[in-house]
Amino acid sequence: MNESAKHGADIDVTVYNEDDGTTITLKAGPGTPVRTVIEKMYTELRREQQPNDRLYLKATGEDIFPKSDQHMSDAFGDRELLWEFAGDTGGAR
Amino acid sequence: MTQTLPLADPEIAAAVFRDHLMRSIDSAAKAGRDWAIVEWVDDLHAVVRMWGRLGDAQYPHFILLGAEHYDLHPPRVRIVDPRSGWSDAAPGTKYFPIIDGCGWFQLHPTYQFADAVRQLACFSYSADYYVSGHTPTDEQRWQQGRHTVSATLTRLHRVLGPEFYRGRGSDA
Repeated sequence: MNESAKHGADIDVTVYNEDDGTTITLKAGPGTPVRTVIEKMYTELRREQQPNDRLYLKATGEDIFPKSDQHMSDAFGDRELLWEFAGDTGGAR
Repeated sequence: MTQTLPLADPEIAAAVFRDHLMRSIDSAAKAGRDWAIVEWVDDLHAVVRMWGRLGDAQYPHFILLGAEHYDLHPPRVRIVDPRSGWSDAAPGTKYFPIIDGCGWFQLHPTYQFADAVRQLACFSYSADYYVSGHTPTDEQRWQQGRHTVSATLTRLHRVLGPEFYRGRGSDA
């Protein structure tokens, strides 16, 4: 990423927790690794990451976990973000 | 195999259910989801309208939620028909959604419970899932304090979306 983007404004990330209907808001710099924001989200939610958790970008439906190694502005641009989180669901498999 | 779930104190269940449901509808609206409570049948039962989304079309479906065991256990869930006093929607009718390809959700029109034959919305955020012999993992299991009726509605919203929703019956 370029130097100007690294010093840009914070990106607001609102996380909608589907499991209980609450939202949390996180702030991240453009150069923050996505992984760091995900870890902060789990801390705020008081949960540990599980293999079947879902975390999607509301605007596009993109899965966020594969972007963990990218910087925020590279992965999402500099816009405000709404992420949707849900834990695993059991059913008749 | 069927089991039973303990009934909640009705006054506490009603208060918690109403609070959680109102919060869930409100937060879902902020996330762009158009759900609406269309009727409080009584303090423990509410009907929520959601949309089946198929291409550019949207079709209404109605969810009867029951808080008899809430919130130690999830709400009861039935997909119902507004034309018949919120009775179970029948397959082939326009209020019975056609859902396909979802590994974690099944809608059985008739299921043999210990006390009766009735509809089963089979997923781990529905009370009837736990009285019909299913065994979720710890992460899938309803946990009081972690899950609310939001978990129930968001999963129904997902199965009524383009990933799994294939339309509805064709009766007028």
